[in-house]
Amino acid sequence: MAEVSKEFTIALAGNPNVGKSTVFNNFTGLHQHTGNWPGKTVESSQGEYIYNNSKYIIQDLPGTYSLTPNSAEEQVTSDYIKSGEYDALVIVLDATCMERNIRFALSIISYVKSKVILCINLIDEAEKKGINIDDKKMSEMLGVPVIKTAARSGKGTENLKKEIEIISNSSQDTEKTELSRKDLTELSDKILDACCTYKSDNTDRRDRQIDKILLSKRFGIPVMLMMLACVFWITIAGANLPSELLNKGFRLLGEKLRIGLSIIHCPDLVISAMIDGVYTALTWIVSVMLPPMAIFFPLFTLMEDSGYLPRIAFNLDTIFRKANAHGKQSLTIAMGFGCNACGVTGCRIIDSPRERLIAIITNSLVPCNGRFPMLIAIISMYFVGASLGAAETLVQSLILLLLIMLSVVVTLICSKILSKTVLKGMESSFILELPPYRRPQIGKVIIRSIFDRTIFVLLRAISAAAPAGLLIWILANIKIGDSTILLQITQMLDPIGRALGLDGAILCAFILGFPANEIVLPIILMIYMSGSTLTEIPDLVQFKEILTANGWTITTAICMLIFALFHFPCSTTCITIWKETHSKKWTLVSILVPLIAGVILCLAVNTVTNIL
Amino acid sequence: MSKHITLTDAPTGSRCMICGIEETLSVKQRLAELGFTNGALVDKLYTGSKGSPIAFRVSGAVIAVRSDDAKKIIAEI
Repeated sequence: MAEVSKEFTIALAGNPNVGKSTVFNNFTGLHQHTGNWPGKTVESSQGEYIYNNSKYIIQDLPGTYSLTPNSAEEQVTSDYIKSGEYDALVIVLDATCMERNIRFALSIISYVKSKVILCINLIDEAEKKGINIDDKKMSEMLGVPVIKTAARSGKGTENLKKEIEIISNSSQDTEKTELSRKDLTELSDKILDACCTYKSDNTDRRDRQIDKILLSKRFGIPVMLMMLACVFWITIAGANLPSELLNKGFRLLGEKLRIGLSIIHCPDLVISAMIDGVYTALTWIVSVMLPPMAIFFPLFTLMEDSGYLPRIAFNLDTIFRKANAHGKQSLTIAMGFGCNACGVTGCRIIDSPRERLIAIITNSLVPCNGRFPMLIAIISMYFVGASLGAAETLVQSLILLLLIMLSVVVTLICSKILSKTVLKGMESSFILELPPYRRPQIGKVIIRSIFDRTIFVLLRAISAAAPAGLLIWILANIKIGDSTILLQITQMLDPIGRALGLDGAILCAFILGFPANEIVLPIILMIYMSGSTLTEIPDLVQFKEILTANGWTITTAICMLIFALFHFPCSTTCITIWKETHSKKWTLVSILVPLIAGVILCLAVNTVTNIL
Repeated sequence: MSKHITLTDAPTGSRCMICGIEETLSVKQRLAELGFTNGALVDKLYTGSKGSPIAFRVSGAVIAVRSDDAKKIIAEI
């Protein structure tokens, strides 16, 4: 590798939705990592690239509308920009929204003019809309370099890199000129008039036509539900085959490992603990969790990149407001469908701390990808006929959608209760930008998403599933008296379970499934078969027979579905909640709220069906 | 003589020029950063069910606010 002679730091700033991350990703590729700004729950992305023998470290700043520190993100951005601790500052602008973007750029230029480079991005979109920008004239008027880019396709990025090199190597003085808001507006108007030409007055005609449907009172919400149903259906149907293949593959590998370990004279007990315990749990979780996540997350990211998500928040704001919740909570819930832990992190989009907490606490009330297979299995066995063939997955998805609507309703109710009791306070404002629709880079999104998700699932499998597998193996194989610890725990929990319309085995399985919901059904199976290892689910007909033989009725199935939706968050989510809130108290509340909801509903259903 | 009307009452699809913002509007500064200032031209684009939220075209972008907040912005059509 070539020797790197110099190292520079580049800051990347801009409004939200200008394609800043596209520029960032284009420059850094996979040489990036995300963390937090020290002491804050604001995401910080850093990456690097090499250009002409010099290393450039890019610090991606949070997207903000201004430098006035009204939120944690703005504080971080403002502090960093004013610190001047970088060699060049690239301000990314949206060519299709120059009016506001120019004002933002001007406010920054007044602080650090000699280090600034303006990057006018989304030039391809602008051209399609008949918007023409004279970068040379703008550069003259502003006194800073202006580069046009279409970062999606890489157009202009070489020029940008060259300009960054020039600025980083030039000597810089720190002249500051504060501009008042009035000055800013006047100056930006002057620049806009001189440098931007618009072919028509209605450059966003296509966006408005689409919004007319997606935001309409009649079609808005039905279209949203349809899209959700599609996403779920694709996730469920698409994950089936890969999950099976992974499962078979891991089983084969497991046998080879078993043989290998015995060849090196590993004691039988250790082999069993390793393979039947750790390996089985680990590979079960990977084969159940990875395929749906590798499908759902790319789909979700595509929806996000296309600009559709804020429209959902727009349509649902009134409903959420009635529950004293913030309209953006609809988005954090949507994120929670993929992974509750990701939904919790996503709550950062809600500025008000009170409403953010409500969103965090209630996030686990919606099921994540890890719980879908469990829900689908029960739905298939008890609520969907076996002879539907191709339509089977479709019906499963629709019933799943109904369950999810139920969990959203429960979320709203819990949000309202929380906001009237432990989290009383002022309602915060709701301001939402509806960005232009953009065609997402489908290939890149899918690849990056699958890569991220695979790493996430593997890490989780190793950190949570492996120890869980070992623990379960110990409980299932060590006898106290005449039965294993596992069976004794099951017996102890039985009275509580029965009261909830479940039984001891189910409760025990949920408790042991704390690290990962994916192993709940295998644990139930293991207990019923008095087995000592997690076995895979046999075909659903056989599974149902085993369940019926152990006392399952339709009531049990319903209570099982309810409890699967509303119990406690998984360990990964709990840790994430703790990291986001820095509060043991709120983490405890987040564990109790879904649990209490589940217990109440199960009690209710059980009591009602007993009476009938 | 053009009428003075709150942004909430303005008809959907109309273009207005902002001429006053009530001081009691808590998000006044944030909205100003987004372009809701005296003299700015805004187009009222969409209204949600029950009148809220309301989406406006302002400063070249589309921003949605709740009707309670839009009620505190006065404009002339």
